[in-house]
Amino acid sequence: MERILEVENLKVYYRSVLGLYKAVDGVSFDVEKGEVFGIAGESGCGKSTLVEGVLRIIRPPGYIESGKVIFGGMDLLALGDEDLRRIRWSKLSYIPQGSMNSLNPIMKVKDQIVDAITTHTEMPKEKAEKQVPVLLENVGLPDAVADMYPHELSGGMKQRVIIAAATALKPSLVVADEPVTALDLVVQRGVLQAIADLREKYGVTVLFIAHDMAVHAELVDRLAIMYAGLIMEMGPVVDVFKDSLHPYSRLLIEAIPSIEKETIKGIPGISPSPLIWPSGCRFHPRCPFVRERCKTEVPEPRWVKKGRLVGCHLFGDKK
Amino acid sequence: MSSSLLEVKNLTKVYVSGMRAKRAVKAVENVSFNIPGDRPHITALVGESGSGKTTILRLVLGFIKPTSGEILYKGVNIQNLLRKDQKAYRKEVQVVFQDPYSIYNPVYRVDRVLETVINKFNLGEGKDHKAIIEETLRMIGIRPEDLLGRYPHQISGGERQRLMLARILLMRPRLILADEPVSMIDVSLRAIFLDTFLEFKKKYGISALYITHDFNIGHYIADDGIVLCSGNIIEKGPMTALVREPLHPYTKALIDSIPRPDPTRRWPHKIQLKVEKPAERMQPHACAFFGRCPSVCNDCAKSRPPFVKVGKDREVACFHYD
Repeated sequence: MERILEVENLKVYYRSVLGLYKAVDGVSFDVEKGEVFGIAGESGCGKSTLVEGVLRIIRPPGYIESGKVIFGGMDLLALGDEDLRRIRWSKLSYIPQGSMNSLNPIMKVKDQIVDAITTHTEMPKEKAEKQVPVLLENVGLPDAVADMYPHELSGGMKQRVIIAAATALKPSLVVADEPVTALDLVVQRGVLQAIADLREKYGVTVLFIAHDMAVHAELVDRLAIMYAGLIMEMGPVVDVFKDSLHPYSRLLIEAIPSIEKETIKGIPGISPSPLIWPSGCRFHPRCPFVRERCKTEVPEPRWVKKGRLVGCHLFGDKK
Repeated sequence: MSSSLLEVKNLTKVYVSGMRAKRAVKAVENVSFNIPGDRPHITALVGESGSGKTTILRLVLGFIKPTSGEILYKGVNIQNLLRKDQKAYRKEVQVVFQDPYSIYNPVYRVDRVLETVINKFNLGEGKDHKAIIEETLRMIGIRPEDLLGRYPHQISGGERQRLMLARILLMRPRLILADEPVSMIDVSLRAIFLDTFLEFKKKYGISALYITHDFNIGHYIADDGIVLCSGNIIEKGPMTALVREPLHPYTKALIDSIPRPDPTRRWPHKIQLKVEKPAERMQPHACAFFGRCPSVCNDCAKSRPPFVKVGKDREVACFHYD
């Protein structure tokens, strides 16, 4: 399989008067061409900061401390600003959190999509306009939407317009940060379907960030679970759910309320602060399987089975 | 008759906006339900955004007045209660809101939210305030030394919501109104909050009206469920039956669209969404789900369907059950 994105030991920190917030503290993963790669984790685990680091859009006081982000053979972190601008949107596009509210209220949907195309390519306006109906159809919207203004659309329709615009130039990678959060159920399902369709039709690769584990279960191929600025576990989504290796993943999955379950269990304790991460394994203060070495020794993430990575001393002895 | 703790009768709330060209939006329309008074009972009010959930909560709290219809607490209209003995109503009916971040005043220590209610309502009859607070915190499984003396920004959203539960427990209310209290809490901490809530019912006999958009949570917490669609109740019944075999096409569509936390059983088919313009959303004389219903028929356009009894304890407002 061809790797489209390789992230190596990426660290993204925030400066503050209290010290450094090590929001992303050494994350590595690869995304393969054509897959939907999911990143899950609770609030404050570093998901969004990770994305901002990968796309090099982190703003002060945040900064990239170190690491590599290889996309299509280039290191994004070493690329010049102009080169970076050129691949954004056309090759690498981004759907930020809450972006459905960033549509221009006084422009028709059609014009906003055309705007995105003409800004990033040499394509003439007329030609771009011809593409709009197809782009809308791809995300399940009727032609009529092209001539509507954002206030005439529901939240789910706006989100699909954003996805249509983000994929207008057939980028090889789309990074979507919580694209279905705050949408109603039926609408959420429609948007997830639109993302799955785009992948099927055009082979778009998707890096999909969401806090909702059930959404990952419906959409992604591989899943990474983050906690305290690190990836705790990574693997094919079925394996991560059905045979979780890391205690945190297992407990997180048990904590998901579902109409099919009678009981759920929470994870006692509090989520740690990026200012002072716990020593050793960062999950050790809340882990029911904690051992002495977990408190002092950082577990190195290692590949334990085919395609499965885990950072936990329970799996540490054999290499 | 007076066996109901809370009785909502034909409640309607119309919001009127605009200076000259008045525009009326029916946020809640002809809503009726009961919370029984003979046993502790949790009712979930489930609906999507804009369905009128929060308007109903604000009406029951008395923050806004109904356009028509009435709300009875222990058989007495709450408008009268609020005029005559507001404090008693406020003590017996407690609320927990959605946002654990905007409730606290950032310049005071968190202890203050607990001390204030003790002072305001003369709780504890002269016992040492600190002792009462510590005892209450322990009752819901919080170590007092973990939270007391801290400022709001030093504790997490989940902890702030649990402190709200401690505040409620100090008052020993009969009824809690909860407006999506866990939607801003992380999954790993939700169960702990919800279990405390259930314990209030079991141990202290406190009933609740629990508002949520999430059937998963409604199913975990509630005995009965009420489903709202564009301000109208379209189905009610025991929560388990509601999620296992939904009756109304709207409830069916919702339950069918809940993502399951199981990657081996993904949605088997695609759904075809009808795209409706917001203007079509509220047809004054049609079924509330008219614009989006997959099994719509002629009658649906003509009038609001009345409630039909199904089995012994379920009701659905849909012409297909005549």
